[in-house]
Amino acid sequence: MDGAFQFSLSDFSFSFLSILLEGLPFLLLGTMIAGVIDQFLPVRLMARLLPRNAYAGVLVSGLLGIIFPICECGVVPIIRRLMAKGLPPANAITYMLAAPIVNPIVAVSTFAAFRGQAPLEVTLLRLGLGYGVAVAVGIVVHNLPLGRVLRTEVIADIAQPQGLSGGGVAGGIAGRLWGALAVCVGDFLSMTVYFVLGATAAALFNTSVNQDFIAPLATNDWLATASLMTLAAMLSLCSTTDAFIAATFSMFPAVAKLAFLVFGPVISLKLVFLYSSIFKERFVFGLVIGLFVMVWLLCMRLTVIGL
Amino acid sequence: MTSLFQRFLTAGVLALWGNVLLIIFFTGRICAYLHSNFQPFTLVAGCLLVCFAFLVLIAPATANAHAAARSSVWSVLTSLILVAPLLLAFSSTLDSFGAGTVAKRVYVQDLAQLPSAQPAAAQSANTPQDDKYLLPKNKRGQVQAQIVDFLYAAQLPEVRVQLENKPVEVIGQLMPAKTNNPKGNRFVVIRMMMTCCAADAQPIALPVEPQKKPDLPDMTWVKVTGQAAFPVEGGQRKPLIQDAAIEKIDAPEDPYLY
Repeated sequence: MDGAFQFSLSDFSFSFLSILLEGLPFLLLGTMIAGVIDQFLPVRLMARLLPRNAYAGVLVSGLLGIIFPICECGVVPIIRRLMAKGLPPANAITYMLAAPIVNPIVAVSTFAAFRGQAPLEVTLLRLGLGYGVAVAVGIVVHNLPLGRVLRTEVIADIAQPQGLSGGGVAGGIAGRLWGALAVCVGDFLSMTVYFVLGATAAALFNTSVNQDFIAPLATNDWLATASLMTLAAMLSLCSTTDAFIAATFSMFPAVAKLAFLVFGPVISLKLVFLYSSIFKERFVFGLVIGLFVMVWLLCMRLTVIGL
Repeated sequence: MTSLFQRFLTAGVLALWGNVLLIIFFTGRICAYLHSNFQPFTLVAGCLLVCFAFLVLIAPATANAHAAARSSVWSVLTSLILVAPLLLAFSSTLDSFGAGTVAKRVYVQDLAQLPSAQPAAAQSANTPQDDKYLLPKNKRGQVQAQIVDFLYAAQLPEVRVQLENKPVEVIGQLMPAKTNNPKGNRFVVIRMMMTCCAADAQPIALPVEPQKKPDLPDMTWVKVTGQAAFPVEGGQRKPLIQDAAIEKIDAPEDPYLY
């Protein structure tokens, strides 16, 4: 019991199932929306609605979560379909990273969770930093060749912009609905493979690692921030409720809690596996390291304003 | 052959997932896993997956063209990843955490660490005059409190007055004390507080000094009766039940605090 690591199959199974039961409905919702997008969204409509200037498009994409709020599990299949419908990858990735944070549900839950702990400041900083890092990644991706970012089969989808299943080209409404079902089921199964792998890793950490070992790190701002970011990645919490957990780390400085809230929804064990279904492994690795360093340094800068 | 095999494999995996979700929901086991706010989503997802399994079986061949394009080996491999961990977890879980996992989590023993119940919020909420803060008493005149009430009482004098030096009764699960146990004669009673799902549940702990050391395994559900005290230890006022009698009880219908 006193060791740093100890495994129990029944406890692991309990944690694993609870993570699956919580996240799976949202993953299913995301794949259903993806199916509808694939069959009913006209090709390049999204690209036409966004500003023509690439950088302005990235800036606007970071705010789409306000209109189309979706959590981090559901957004991954959606952006795959949006890219197949002509949305530039830089815009899609910006939406993917920003939507789990920059959305009204997360704003309300963060404000409620931090009652008595500067809720307005924490909420605004969370949304602001979440938006900032998403836009920064979007701009970097805009300047990268697609081959370094996306998996080959995803690039093939983009190359034939009607989408995998014909994109509603053929058939009437019934044909499109069958097509939407095929896309939904195909995406659900392929994404759930990665979700299962992520939930396995998260449940293993959740039940096997002694969390008391993290507590001594709280006394140093740099270590506290890095350790809570790591914890956020390991726990793989849903962005709509993670603030209620973050608010309880009373021994940790506010910047560390903020880093937990910004980093967790964009990088976690389950998300790394989900991202790998769309992006090249090397890009995912770079995304993890880049976002970790960016969020860490940005949050540490906030200590100068007394947060 | 490949197309038919893919179709049945896909439908089988979807049906299995859907049925697992529905079994967990309709047997009431869902309460052990998810906060009530999230439980309806499990029902909806389970129903949808079973419907999708049926629709995949009756779908026109063109709708399954993409699935049929995948190799059978790949499909079997991914289906194994989807099915094997789910069945293993479903068959091996006890629907609760054991003592080993609970002991690895940080015990919440301070109101500031309590999820969604920060001190400032508590101070601006109800007063003792409000019904919510009038703690009930049992037939023997003991105050029936939750572990959370003691955390509030440690910081709020208007709540503390209802408990301090009074006979009290509280239920929870027995665990060893990890801190604040200088004489080695204390243990804690804990309740798991769920924010969203069981994976995020945290133990809320109340130290107890028993009349005699209980000979019960860790995580046993107990009723503790004794006298509430709020000594200042390490510069902080902390709740404690002294001279406590311990009685083993059945687990409550809902083991969680929310």
